[in-house]
Amino acid sequence: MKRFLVVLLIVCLGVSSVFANGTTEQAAAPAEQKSVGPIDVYWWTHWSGSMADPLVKQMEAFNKSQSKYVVHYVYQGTSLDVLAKLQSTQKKDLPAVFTGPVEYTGYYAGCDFVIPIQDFIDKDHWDTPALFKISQASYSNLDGRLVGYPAGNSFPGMFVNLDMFKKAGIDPYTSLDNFQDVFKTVKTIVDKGISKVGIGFHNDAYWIAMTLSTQGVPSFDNNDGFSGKPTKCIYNQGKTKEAVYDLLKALHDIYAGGYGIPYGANINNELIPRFASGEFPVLLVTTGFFAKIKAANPKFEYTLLPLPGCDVNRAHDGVPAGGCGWFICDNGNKAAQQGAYEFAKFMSDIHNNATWAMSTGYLPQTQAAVETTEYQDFIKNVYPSAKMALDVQKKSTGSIRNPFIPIANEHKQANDIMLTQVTTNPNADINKVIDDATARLTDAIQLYNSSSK
Amino acid sequence: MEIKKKTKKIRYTPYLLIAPSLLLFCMFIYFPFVKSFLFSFAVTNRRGELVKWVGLSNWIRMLSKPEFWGIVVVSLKFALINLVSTLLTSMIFALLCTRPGLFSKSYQLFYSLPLAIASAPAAAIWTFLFKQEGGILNWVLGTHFAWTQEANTALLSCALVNVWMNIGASFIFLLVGFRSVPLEMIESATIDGAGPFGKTIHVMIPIASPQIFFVFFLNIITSFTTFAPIRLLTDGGPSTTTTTLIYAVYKWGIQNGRFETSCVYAMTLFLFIFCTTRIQMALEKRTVYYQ
Amino acid sequence: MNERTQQQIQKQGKAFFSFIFKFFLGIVFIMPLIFCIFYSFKPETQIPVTPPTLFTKTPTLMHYAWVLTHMPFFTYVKNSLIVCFISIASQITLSSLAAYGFSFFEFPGKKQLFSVVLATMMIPSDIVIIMNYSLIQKLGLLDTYLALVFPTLISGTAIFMMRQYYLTIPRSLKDAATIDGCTDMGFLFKIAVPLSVPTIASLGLYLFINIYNLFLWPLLVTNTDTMRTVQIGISMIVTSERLEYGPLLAGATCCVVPVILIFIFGQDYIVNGMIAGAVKG
Repeated sequence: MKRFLVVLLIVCLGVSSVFANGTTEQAAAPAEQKSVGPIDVYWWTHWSGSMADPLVKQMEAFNKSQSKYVVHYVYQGTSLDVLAKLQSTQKKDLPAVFTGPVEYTGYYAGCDFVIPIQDFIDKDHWDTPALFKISQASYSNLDGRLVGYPAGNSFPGMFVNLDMFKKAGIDPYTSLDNFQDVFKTVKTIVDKGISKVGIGFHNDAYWIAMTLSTQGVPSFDNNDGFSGKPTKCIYNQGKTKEAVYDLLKALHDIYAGGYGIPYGANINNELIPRFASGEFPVLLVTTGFFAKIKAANPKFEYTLLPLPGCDVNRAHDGVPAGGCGWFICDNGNKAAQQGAYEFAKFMSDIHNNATWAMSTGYLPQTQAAVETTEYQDFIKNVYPSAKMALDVQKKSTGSIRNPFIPIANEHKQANDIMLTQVTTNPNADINKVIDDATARLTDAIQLYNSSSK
Repeated sequence: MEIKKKTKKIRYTPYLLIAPSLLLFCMFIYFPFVKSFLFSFAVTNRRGELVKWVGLSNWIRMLSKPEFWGIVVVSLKFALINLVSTLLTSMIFALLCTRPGLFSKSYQLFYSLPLAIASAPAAAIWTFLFKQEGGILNWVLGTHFAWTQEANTALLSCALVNVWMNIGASFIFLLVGFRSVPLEMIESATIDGAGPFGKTIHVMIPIASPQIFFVFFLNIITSFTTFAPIRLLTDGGPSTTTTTLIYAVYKWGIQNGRFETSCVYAMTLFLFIFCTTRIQMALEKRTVYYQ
Repeated sequence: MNERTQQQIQKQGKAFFSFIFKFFLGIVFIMPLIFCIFYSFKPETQIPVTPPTLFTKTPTLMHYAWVLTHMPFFTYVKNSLIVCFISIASQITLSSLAAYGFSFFEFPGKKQLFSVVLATMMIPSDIVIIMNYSLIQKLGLLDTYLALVFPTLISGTAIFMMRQYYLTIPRSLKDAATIDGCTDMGFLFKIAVPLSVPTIASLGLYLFINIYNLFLWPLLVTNTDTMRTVQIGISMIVTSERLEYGPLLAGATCCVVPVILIFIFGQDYIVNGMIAGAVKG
């Protein structure tokens, strides 16, 4: 009996020493830090590799430029992983800042772990450099206050292989206005024998929602959430239904005819190398991948075109904003939050912004950054298409926006399911696909509404 | 000889011996299990905290969605493919190795080696093999599939990786079973004129039935709970073609923050495992022959 | 005489071909692993080339260099090993105690309590993983070793395996020891445990392979790079925005080779351990 108690004691000691060991190993930011030494600011992101390297360099420059804060770059996996962690982590373990997609602004505005950056801007009386209209609109909540600050200004569109278009005798600038045209064009090029396959898509469904916004139709009632709370998805109603149907039909036709690279192919190690080596004429992706295309084949002749609409009835009011922004987390550590704000401010410096834009292909988010000498040189010598993209953005009215909804994740998932259903099943019933997606999204909204009282 | 153990007093020793284990089981298996069960009757917020009880309406909502049944069907398909492939292949391997011969340890090692490979590196290796253009699997088979992206092949790809990893364990268990068949039985069967096929079916399999039964049991559970290959290869697959119950638990609980939905899937998964093992146990009495 | 040697030659020939066939089949079976290891030394440009070749005229270590410099690989390995060590030590201790209780004692409720233990084998931890994650969160234990080892401190398999072995120790041994004045715990520590060392070794190796390979749980409970395990590290390469396959294969090789070596050298122990737990005698 005595021996046994001794053993039990030893086991308990062992387990509790693990406990003790654990807390000293804890590397996450503690709740309150004494003002001795620099304050740790944790930055969670899904950017890695060549996307993150220039930012990390600028982060190190920020760390060196002042001694109050130290920012740490933490890669957390894909953007879904980052979101998952943010949602489920307890307050004190949250990072100070993360980079999240702009189309999730509606979600961030309503969730409990994000503090609108406008609060910090107001306190600081920062005269923010004039952001492009669409950025300002897309990162704001319903009261017009900035929830996040743009880190990257993305422009979803299509890179096209000029050589192939020339051989086919097609003018890319007029033949890719909407997805029906896209289908006809790639069909022509492939049928003429110029390439074996016609088009590849970035394996991430953000562009479905953006295509609908470009078309000018809302996806949810209450004007996509801008006139009060959304209560249901309207994919299967009215003008939206026509647009969704035409979009899905065109995609279905592309894939049923074998003109598309199987959806889901990895953008980095399959689509870009194949596109850059001249294998197919059209790649639908964002401008942020330009640097990778260039690196894969510096001599490649291409141009960038804006995202097509669903059909000929599309609006021509511009494109919604893409890319990711800095969002500050409510982690109970005011000092770290302030550090995060200072960091975001530092990164918005026009030269930092221009440098990052030049090394990835993302666009700068202010006119001032565009007009820096280095960026002007970049447009002239390296990436002329950037000018087109910037012009389209400038002409965009603020009315073309990503939906402002709290179920951003379910939205993307439902779009992804819609997309994969029509592209991987030649016998897909498009009406049924649309009804399924509508039911899925309406269900998600209703569940959210009932759980957030 | 008087055995001291038969005392009238209650001995506390055995209870103390098993107490720490039972305590831990309660903490990380039974308590969360009950919590999962209860939460499936509620609505939660994104932090997993209870908002309100809704009773059966949560289950009714879930069961009336075709998406739910789609996931159930995918899970069953996946489990079936896994079970049949693993069992057949490991049985063939085990039968090949029944008679230990010269250097037989070498190929025995090969058949069981993937057991030591974790799912993350296995997924990494197979991601490479599954490439459409210039991928080795396509080259070997002469096909041109985009294995992890096409609706017809996505589930097969995940199953292939999973089976490859799991054959090792089943192989070892079956090998033990087949090796335990007494040589005299095999010889007398040969004398009776049984060919290799006949011997296998009428002698080897019945004698090894305890191990075969165990391998069945093991594979059912592992095939229902396979997570990493799906997460790393297809992320739930083109539309929902590779979303199994366990993946839905992860997707809805962690990615979408909808705990109540996740708990419904978790309970359904448990129900399936429970029922299949129960059926198996019932069949054990009829089919397993113990020496 | 001639006939007999002819028969012998035939027999040996058959045995030889049978060996070649089985060996070759084995090689084919582990071909993916072989490709991984050999390709990890190929320069990136040669990797997508078909027909696939194992050897290259220009082997390179640059993928390994990439893996070792772009992620704290040794930290990952250290974490994996610490988690394994703590879990295995805990499981062996607790399962020996529990198995001893179940095998050498009679007490009311024994059958029921044992089925409680067996039932845990039917509730795979993946079902309750989300709830456990919630709990760890609320206790503020994210990014700690305690969180990482939490679900693997004890398992039904371990108790089952140890009990199987203890059942083979004859009661008469314990009775004799008792007569000699040995207490219950004394018997456990002085006799039963030393006898069961081979089983413990097998269990330990078997547990090592399983715990080293855990994926979902470490993914959930670690947010910082310094606490991640090797599996999570490799998966980060899989999901990252990389253009090359070389580092992926190099990382996978680094992850896999230690376990394979342990498996090759500890094969017999591991197999014995697995058998002990499987055979329902």
